[in-house]
Amino acid sequence: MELAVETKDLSKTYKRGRILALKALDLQVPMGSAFGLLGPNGAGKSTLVKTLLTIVRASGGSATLLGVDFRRPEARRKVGYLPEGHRFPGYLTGAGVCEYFGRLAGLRGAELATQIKEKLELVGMSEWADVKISRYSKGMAQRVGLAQAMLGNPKLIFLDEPTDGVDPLGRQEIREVIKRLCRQGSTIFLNSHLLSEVEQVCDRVAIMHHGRILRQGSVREIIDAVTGGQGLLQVRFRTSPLDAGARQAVERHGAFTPADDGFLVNLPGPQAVTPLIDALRAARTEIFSVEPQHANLEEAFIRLIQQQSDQGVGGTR
Amino acid sequence: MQAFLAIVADTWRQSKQQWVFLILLVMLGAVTVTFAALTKVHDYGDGSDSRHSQTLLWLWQDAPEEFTREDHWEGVYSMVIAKQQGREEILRQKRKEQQKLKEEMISLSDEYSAAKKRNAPEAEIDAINERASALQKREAALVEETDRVNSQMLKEARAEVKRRSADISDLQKALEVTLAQVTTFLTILTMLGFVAAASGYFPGLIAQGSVDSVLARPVNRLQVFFGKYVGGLALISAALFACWLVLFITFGIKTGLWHWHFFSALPMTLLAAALLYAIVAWVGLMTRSTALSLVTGYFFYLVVDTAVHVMVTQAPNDPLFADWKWLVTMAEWVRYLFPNFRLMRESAEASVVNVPVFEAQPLIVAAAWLVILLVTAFRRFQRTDF
Repeated sequence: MELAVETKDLSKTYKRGRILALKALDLQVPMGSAFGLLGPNGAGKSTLVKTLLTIVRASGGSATLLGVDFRRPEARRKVGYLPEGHRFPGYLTGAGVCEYFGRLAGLRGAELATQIKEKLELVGMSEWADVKISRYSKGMAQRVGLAQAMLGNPKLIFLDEPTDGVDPLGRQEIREVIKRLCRQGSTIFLNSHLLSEVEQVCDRVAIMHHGRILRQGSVREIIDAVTGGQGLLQVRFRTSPLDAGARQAVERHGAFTPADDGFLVNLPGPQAVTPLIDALRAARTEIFSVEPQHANLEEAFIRLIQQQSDQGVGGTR
Repeated sequence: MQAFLAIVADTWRQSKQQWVFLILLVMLGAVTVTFAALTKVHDYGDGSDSRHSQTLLWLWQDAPEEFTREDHWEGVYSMVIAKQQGREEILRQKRKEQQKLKEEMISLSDEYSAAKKRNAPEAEIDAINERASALQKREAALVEETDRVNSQMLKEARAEVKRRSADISDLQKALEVTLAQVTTFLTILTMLGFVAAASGYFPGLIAQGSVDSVLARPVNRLQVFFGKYVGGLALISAALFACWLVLFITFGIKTGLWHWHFFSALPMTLLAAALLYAIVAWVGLMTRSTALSLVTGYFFYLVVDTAVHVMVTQAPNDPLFADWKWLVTMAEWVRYLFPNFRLMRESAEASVVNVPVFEAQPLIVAAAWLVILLVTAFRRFQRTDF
């Protein structure tokens, strides 16, 4: 399998080793995949991306980008990057930003002009190309950021919270752009705390916590791995109103969430459904329907992080 | 190279968008136009030979002032000649002798007090008084001799200047002095304005979210650092070159004299600007603060530079500092340890007047500082995690 990103024992420490931001990290991102990196705040997601791009210097280990040692500038020749919370110079226009970063990417002349036009059009910013960045809304700046990341037709694009500050319609458009890039063969490395977004866009994910990769694989593999192959079962019950005793009975079986005409409950597996029904009937609750829901990435993620916290697996910080 | 040029071009664009920079450019333009447009060639019309027939005046002047521009030129030149003849060293020696006498006087004064305290015999007191009186006489004679030597040397220098400049016309002298004056104005304006304009370049570059996008491109940090530095200097260099060119051409057309030496002051002015920029860049990189960078730049230029200049030029010679020996010793070292913008400016002015002794030492110290600041700033930039 050809890899777009590969790290071996990659680590990053701060304050003379007292703070471990990345711990001997091994990661593989297949070429052409849409890869999502998940993790709670402070997990080290942005540090990982910045380390791969040498914005932050690695303390140890090795990595390659598109097969080239990540420390060499050539490794970034076909790489695009949209940083989180970017601040493009306010004195530049949208087209100016693209021109500047396009030149840094090695584009020039007619090719640069064509790509600027094409990418701005792709993110829906053509009409605003000649307006200064300082006058843009956050969403508009984000789109221009995405456009500059696509200049030079990179084979690997790092997107750090790409839909941050963008309205729902805009998010949808950005997701479409990302999907299009994937179809064109680019590898997408998506950093996002919006799990549903990652689930919609990415075919592979890794979950990071305290500077370590806890799991990596396809979305399905992650969910199955976390839920023991059974899948984390969420069941929707439509019932008569629950009294205190009935609710306590439900809570003894799993996490309870009130819903219209009943409730949702997270159960460890199908074998837990019958005992719960028995408990409800014992509490004289009428059951109108029982519908199993599919476990999603968000649930798997929360469960995995909780497991780690329960086990006391943490960082040095 | 393309990435380097892209960063240079971006910084050039950044400069053009700054109102501080625009004000600076307007002021540089105003000084240039004032000198170029408001100066005229004045014909003495008194039957003097061609070398003394013309000078330069302001447009509104009908006749030269008592102290003409050519007199000014001769004054500057003779000071340099006097220095060349070792005037400063001779005066320093004389002042050292004066200082020695002062010390003897202090010691005698202590001896007198001690004698009085122990009720010494009258004869002993009288002897001390006699010695004091002799010392005072020697000191007065020494002061008189110092003044005489000083004035004699200046007189000789003046005569030497007359001899050496016999072939130089008054108009040429007036032109050289005028261009030296405009160099002074342009240099001071550049330094004051450029600190304000340049103090934000590096803190802006390394701001979170700004530097990331640049470093993620196939560039190395050397290109980014020096691209920003050279880019910051590019616009001011272009502006100063334009000022120099306009003045050179305008005065050339007006006087018929094409004073190429005027251009020798340009690299010196640029070196001064580059050094001050390196100082603010260094502070900006270390602190990430535009405000601190700005304050440090002005503090260095206005306060530290003045202090260094006073130490270097006054402390060794001025009797006022004679009581602080450590200060005098320090002053002798400070010249080689700290750059001094005022001395650099004087070197630039001297190069325009084309004096025979060129003071390269301030330029060498400045160049050494420039290298040290840029190397340490780059090392910091290279090692920083953004």
